[in-house]
Amino acid sequence: MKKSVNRTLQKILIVVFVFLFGFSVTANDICMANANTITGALNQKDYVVENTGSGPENSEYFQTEYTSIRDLVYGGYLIQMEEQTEGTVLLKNDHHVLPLAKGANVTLFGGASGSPNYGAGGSGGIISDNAISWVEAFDGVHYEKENSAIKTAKVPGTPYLNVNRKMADQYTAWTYSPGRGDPTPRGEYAASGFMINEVPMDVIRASEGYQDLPRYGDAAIMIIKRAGGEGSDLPATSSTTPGEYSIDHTTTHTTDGTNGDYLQLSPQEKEILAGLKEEKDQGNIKSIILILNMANTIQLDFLVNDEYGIDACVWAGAVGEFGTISVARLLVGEDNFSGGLSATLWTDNLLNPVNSNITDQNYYFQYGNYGDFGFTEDPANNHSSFTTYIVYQEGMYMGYKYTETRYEDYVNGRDKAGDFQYGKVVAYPFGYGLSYTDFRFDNMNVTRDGSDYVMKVDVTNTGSVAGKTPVQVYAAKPYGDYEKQNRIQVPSVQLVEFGKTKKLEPGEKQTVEIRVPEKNLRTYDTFGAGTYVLTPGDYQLIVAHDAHAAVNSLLAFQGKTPANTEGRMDAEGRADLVYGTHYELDASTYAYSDRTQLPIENSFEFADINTYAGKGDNSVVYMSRDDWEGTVHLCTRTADGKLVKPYEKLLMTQALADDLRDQMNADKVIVKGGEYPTYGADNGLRLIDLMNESYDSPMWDQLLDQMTWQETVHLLSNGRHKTVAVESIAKPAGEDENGPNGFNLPFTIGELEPNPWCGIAPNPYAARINDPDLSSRYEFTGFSSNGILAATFNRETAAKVGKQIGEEGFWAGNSGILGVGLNIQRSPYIGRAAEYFSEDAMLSGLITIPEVQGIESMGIHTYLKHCAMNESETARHGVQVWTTEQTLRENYFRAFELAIAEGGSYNVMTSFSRMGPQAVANCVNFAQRFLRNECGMPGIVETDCAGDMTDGAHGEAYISRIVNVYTQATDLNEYDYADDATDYTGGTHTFQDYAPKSAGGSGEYGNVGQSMRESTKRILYAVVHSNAMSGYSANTRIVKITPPWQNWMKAAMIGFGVLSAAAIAWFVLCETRRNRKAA
Amino acid sequence: MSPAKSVPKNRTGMIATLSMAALSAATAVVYAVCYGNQERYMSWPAFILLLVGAAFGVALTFVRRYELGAACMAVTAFSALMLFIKIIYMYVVVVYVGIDLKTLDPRFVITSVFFILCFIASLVTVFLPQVVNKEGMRK
Repeated sequence: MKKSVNRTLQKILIVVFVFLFGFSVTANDICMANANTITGALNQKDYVVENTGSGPENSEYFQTEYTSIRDLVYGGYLIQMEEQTEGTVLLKNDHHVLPLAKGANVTLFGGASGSPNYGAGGSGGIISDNAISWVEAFDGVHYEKENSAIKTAKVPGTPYLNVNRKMADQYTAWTYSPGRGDPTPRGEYAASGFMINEVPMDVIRASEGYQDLPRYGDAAIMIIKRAGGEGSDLPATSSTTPGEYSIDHTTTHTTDGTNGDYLQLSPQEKEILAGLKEEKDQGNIKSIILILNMANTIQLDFLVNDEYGIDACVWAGAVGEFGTISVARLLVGEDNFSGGLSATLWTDNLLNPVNSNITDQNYYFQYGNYGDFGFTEDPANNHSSFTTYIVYQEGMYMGYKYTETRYEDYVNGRDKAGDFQYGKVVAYPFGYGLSYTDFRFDNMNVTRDGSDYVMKVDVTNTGSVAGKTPVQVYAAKPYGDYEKQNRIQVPSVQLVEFGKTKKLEPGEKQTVEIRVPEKNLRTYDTFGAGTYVLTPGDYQLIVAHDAHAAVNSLLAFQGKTPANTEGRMDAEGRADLVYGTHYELDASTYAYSDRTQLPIENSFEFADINTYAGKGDNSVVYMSRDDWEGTVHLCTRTADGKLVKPYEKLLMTQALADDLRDQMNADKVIVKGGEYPTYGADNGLRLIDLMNESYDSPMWDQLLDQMTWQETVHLLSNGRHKTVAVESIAKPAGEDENGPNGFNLPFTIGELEPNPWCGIAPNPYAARINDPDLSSRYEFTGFSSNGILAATFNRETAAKVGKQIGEEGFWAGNSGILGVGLNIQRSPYIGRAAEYFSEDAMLSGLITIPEVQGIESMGIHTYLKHCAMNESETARHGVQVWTTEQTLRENYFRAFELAIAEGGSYNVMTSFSRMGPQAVANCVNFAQRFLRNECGMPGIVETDCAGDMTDGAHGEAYISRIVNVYTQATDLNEYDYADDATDYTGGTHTFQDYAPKSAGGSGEYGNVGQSMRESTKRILYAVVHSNAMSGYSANTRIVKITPPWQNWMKAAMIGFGVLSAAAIAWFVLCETRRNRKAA
Repeated sequence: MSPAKSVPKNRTGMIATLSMAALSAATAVVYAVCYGNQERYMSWPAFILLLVGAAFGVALTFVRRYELGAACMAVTAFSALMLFIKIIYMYVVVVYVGIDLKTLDPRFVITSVFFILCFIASLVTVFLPQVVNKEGMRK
């Protein structure tokens, strides 16, 4: 019996120890492949910094305006409120119900009153732990400088409004949505996903708070919200019946918006508004005020049609952490509205032609025949990264560029313009915004100063209270024979510049001067000159309050009035605010980059299915001014409310299939040849020595020669939110973090909890000065949705926001920010509306210039994202975007171009999309011709989460990280790969396959080595001009060490190995004895 | 003496070992079916180990080296599991850490279940009493 027990014990020991040994070997293997991530997650380092100098040296390269973390955070609090004050838009104010009297008795309705929309979800989200809710804001709760903005230091104040407390508390309970680490149960009517889940009116009526309505009836304030974020677009239908709206999908996400449309009021919201109208009619409340707390704005048919007696309406976007206070102050007249819409607000989303060709939470577009070419759907994703597409069929006519152009053509009686009823399509035009006062523009004067038009206009406050107003400048360009011959489309008016007045007292006048670069009048001529041109004909520059006013002024300039157009023109225009000029064809002035002097030429014909070499029988008729009726295809709904989308249908061709596969195939793309650069030289340089050297300095080669092949591979293989330290050149690690609305990591500025991607920020200023709040929970500022910043039309505010983001990054030790978000709000249904600025690329770019300058001024490099063509989220991986080169450049690239060329952005993050067949992350023309040669971008082209494209996310990878670097389409893959990680795209490869002989490789791929060298140089050039260098001097050395966890792993492996061997030896020994005895 | 004639009366362990061999082979087949065309998640060494383990298990059973057969399969099943983990972990990482994929592929679930079952069964087999001869000695 004893023998049997011993034998079993021996077996158990063997099993346990062998298991632990095997497991530790495997774990060690996996962990070492992800060493960088693990080191960061454990808050350890794989290098130490040694100071070898004899005395202190200046190692601060950026100067902060703040003295402490509290000071910094309070600065963010003030600036975010300014942003919201300047950008909130007053849409409607009948009978001057606003401003409310301070202390007015009000009752709040709507789920958002208890659970505000502070920001987006996903990587574009903000931290809202210290946010001020609507109720707190109306109550006067605020922060003060001494303790700054942290939730434990909220200070009560004089209420702006006297809120029906019972109802407010009830709403908070109904809609409670727990935050991070909060165990409180969700409220019964908490919004979730795309379920609005508004509290039913009968429940509201039965509540105690509702009985107090007459006492709090100065106004009923209805606050409604809609959510958006990364990963999916918003649903316009809940239908799942194939063929009624689109094509294949199997996943159903529902919304309770009317007709399954998230951007319509829900039946419950309608009930509430109807109920409030009844109360107003009965005299129980005096007015109804609607606050749209959303970046993705709902269709406003009910407001235009005055269905619910809403007296005033405010668009507040997603309000950021403290924007509620700004809105409270605006509602009672402590401040005045001065924002202008950054996107068109539609009366009916069915009348927005873009919506025919945009994905949605519930559908996307696939080539009908993709299976013929060997592509299959990934069962986990219901689509493949090779089979989906979107045609931007609207071409140049998106947002106001459609509504205003068709309106002008309708008024002018252009053939096939159709019966375009502007008022039924547009609720509020681009740029629109009311104020508590009125402004008049007069005495416009235009002169030339070099290549700029200098526009001066007198702005007079003609009302009774102080206020500011945006001054918008639109350009009208010719649309004549040249354009038609060369297939150029020209919107009626396009924003080209803007300004904003100072705060004008009643009766005060300010002459606003706005400089419009002639460059902003250029047109991209794909089929004629093949570059930017000034087309021949008459041009007009128009000063206006909004885009629609600009068109009416243009029409007035043409001699049109409502009377002589038989009422087609809906308002008088101001011909005196239009300046006319004339150009002959100029195909040379703007044919070269003013940054690099390199030629600008057609580079994206492949992205237009009509000019793509592998188009097969496909063709698309883009929207055209010459045939609105024939080229505008609107969505419709069936009798039971289901959506029918007349989307563009394309078929895959063999050439397209081949292009999709070949571009990532290392065996087909990478060719042998070329000389390798030098590795491992001893030139005695450190990165910091090149801080003042130009990009072309020969010292760069000397520095780069010091790096080993292995260091180069390691640097290029580990880019997840960082750049890694390099010992041979004393390059410190750099940390790059999200996101588009300011830094949004859930850690404090002071202590900096471990970053899941790369550990604590390498060398935060807060730690260098040993700030007393290092371990406090002060957090980064959560700014308003970017549409609000655009709506400020205020460069000074944008500059302050940018500087604040830069300051926060500087204090926290970051060297880059994964933002700002410069894609275009192509449709209200776009998932990431909160991250992007506008439907207009010029407004997006112009407002971003000072923001980017502010961020960059603190050594925080912006990774503009998602560069480019990420105007949809659903099925975003590999989606093939088809449109014209003119559209690409003028409507989508322009925002990035301005932020790089004028704002000085160093870096970009590419999108997951494709332009036609070419993955943006692997599009050489985009990176080299556009970003570098045209915009002059000096720094890093980084992918978005590369693992999603190269590993696992889909059945088939669609980019190759090795090919990307080889072609110089991207420099850094935003992911952490093992140095010997395999690339599975067309043959299996590692970087080692292309190594020089000195590093144990074949030595046949010098070209690969040179490409890697160039990418490395760009990374280093960006880093040496960043905050990553702060705290490091010429005396500083970087010394690689083994992080403690790696020693723990090795110890465990050895220990279990020894124990396993001992247990096996014991068993064998005993077994031998037992067998001898038995024998 | 033919193997059939040598089969003892207490056949629990032996049947378990043969079942284990079948499970090991089945796991290899399931893995190949699920991931055979996806190189980045297919560990052919794991596949081969499972088959080799199954073959050794059967062979050793038929030459009456029952315990050795069970042990052999336990080693191969465990090694295969480790190789599987090593190659499939990135998929799990992408699902949970990546920014797009949120649900596990059924292929992953099925294959993982087979690998884990195979490993657990191999351990059970190792500890099961094998055949008992007339003298009461286990083999």
